Amino acid sequence: MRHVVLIIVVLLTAVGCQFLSRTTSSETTTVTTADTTVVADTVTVESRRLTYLEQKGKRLFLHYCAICHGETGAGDGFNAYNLNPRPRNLTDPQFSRAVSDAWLAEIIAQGGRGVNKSPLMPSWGNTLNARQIEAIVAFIRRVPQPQQ
Amino acid sequence: MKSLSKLFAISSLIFLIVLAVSPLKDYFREWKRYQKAYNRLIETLPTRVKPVKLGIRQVWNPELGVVDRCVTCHVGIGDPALKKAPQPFRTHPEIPHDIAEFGCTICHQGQGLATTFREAIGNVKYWDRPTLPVQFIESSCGKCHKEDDVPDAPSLTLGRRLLVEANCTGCHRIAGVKKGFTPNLNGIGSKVNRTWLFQWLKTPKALIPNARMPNFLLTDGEAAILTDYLLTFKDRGRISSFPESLTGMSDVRREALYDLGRTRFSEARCISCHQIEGRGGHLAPDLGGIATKTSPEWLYSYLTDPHAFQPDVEMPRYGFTDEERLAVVVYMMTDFTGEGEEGPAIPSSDPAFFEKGEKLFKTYNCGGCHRLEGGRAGEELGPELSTVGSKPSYEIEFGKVKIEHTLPAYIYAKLTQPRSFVSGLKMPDYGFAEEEATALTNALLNLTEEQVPERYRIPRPLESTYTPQGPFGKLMQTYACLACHRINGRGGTMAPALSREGSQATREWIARYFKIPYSLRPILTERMPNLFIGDDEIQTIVQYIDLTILDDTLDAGSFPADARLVESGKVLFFEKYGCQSCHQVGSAGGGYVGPPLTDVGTRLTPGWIYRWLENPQAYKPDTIEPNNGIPPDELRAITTYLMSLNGEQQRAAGGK
Repeated sequence: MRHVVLIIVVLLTAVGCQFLSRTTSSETTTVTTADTTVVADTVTVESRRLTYLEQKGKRLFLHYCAICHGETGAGDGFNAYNLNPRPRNLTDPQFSRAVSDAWLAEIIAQGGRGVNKSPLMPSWGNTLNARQIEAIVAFIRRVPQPQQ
Repeated sequence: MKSLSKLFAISSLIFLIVLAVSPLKDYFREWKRYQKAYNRLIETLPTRVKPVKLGIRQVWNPELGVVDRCVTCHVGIGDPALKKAPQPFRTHPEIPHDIAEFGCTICHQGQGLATTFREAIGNVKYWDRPTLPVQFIESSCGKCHKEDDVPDAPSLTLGRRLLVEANCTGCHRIAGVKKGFTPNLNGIGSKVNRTWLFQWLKTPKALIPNARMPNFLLTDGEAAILTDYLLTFKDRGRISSFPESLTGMSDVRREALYDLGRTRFSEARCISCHQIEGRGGHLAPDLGGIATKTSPEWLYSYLTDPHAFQPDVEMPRYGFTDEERLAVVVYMMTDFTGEGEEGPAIPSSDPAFFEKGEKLFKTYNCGGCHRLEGGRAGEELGPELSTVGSKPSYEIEFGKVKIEHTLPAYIYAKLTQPRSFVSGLKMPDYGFAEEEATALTNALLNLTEEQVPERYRIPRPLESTYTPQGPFGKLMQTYACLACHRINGRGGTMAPALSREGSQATREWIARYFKIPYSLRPILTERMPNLFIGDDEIQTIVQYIDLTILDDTLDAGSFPADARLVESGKVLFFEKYGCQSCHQVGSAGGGYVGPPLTDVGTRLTPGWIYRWLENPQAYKPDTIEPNNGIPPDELRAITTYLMSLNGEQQRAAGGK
């Protein structure tokens, strides 16, 4: 009888140890980080908040570009009406579809004269580094869509 | 014996089964699922990515005390090939810091040692620092970056600015944060009237829309007592009598003074710093209701010498004549009568107002911001915030407010609804917008007890102690030049830095500019006021600038006028670099972003033009003038062309 009791106690201890490492699961997890889904993004692009890179691009755009291209990129900046040809309307979806990211990066870096367009567009390649230009291009891509 | 061996057999079997639980649990780990999913995912990618070996992965940085196992599940976080992969495998957005060195929790917080998703987020028992909501992530930048202006962290930069402007140090001690300017209350009894002061104490923003003073949520009775208390502090001989009696003035005289005053007021450009009904600068209060606030005598005396009333105010003393000053006062008292809204009815005076007022003054710590001789001294009422970022959430009294029990949520809620937690709290309501409250939370969260290692720290740059001496120094103080301009690192940022003005602009132009400060950069809203500086004072200033405020690197040799170079410079200007997109040149027209260059040859020195065009960002890092990478011979041509522009040629020729 004594042996039985001893064995049962040992077994119960072994079973109990297995459960020790499991944590209690009663707290709710109200996670507010940007994106926690495991499956692919089902959120549509239009309603997505600006990503970190796009936000950086927006700051740079408002500082360097908005004076001619406008705060929304519509080519209606303060200086736009003094220029002939007018600055490009970047909110035009047709324009956005017609150009590649690489071309946008090139015209920003080399200016209008670098891509055989009007010299009125300045060249920014010596002022902004490649990462900054990438950020601006990412923002320009979001410009034709309504943002939050 | 047989039953014992049967028992032994059964119990051994049970024991084996129980023993198997542990290795089985290890086989079915959550992170192994993710790693296997990753290995399946990379097979579908166009570029070749190395599969991950199953096992715990971690970033270990003993210097920073970081052990982050996030990369166990977030396998692809450093691999650019996974930019479009689903979470948790997606590449991290490009940031200036190497994840392999810094780990993840240094920015995101959370429980780095955890190996399951829920525990890593950290909303679990005994872990006090769950992952930061994304709007507060800039607070982590502040752990190492102690500068005022943190690159790529606009919310943190704004928060640090607001900590000074809102003058949080008036009640809370915060190491390293300066006090913002607040006017002292000496002589307040002779400055304002009872109606105005009562309404001000009840709701400051109703009277002055851009007031920095918060709303203390006083009851009518408390506000009335405090009003009466403050009105007992009369002025001691600084207010001079008005030169003419306003009531006895003839209409003709009043009209003449009004017109003169209006002209002088707009020349003085008061709205560069002050606002009128919401429009104007950001450095000084709205003047829209000044006529109902104070008396003409006080205004006249204040304009005569602001520093006699407020020794550290940034307002310049304008060089008006007595007549002009009188005119400005007449204009202001006639026009700036405010909205004319009826404020709440003021209760009649409480007989014991003085003792009660003293007590209220001390309770709400008015002296923490406003100095008042004879009033009760201010004490630091609120808790010290120098290490508020280390406050554990179990020490926080959440009271009735329904928010997450975390530190960032508490600080944000405290800023937006200060008295809602428990009864008896005294913090006033600042009326912060969401952006401002988030910024302030970011600025406060990084004030922790633990310091990052020296190697990682970027300290705040030492403050410049540039203080010019002698007659020039006195003029600088009188006219408060450093309120707007910055010289050798000290001063305001509203106006261009003048650290090399002597080598940059010509002496004649500077002297002329004091007389007629025309708007040089049309897109700016702030303009230099006409301070009515006397001629000999201008001479002193110009001599000092010419002798000392120089920069030797701006010497680029001589630029003799050469017709051929002028011609080639002109072609480069218009046709190669398209400078006219931002700079107008006489009747050739052009853009209106930078200063017009019609007479730049008489304004700037050739050395400055050369060096500026060579590399603008070396002199003004934030300028939007592009660095065009112009080779030296072209620079020479363009400089020569610009030096030939002296305005008269354009006007006489009437064309290009």
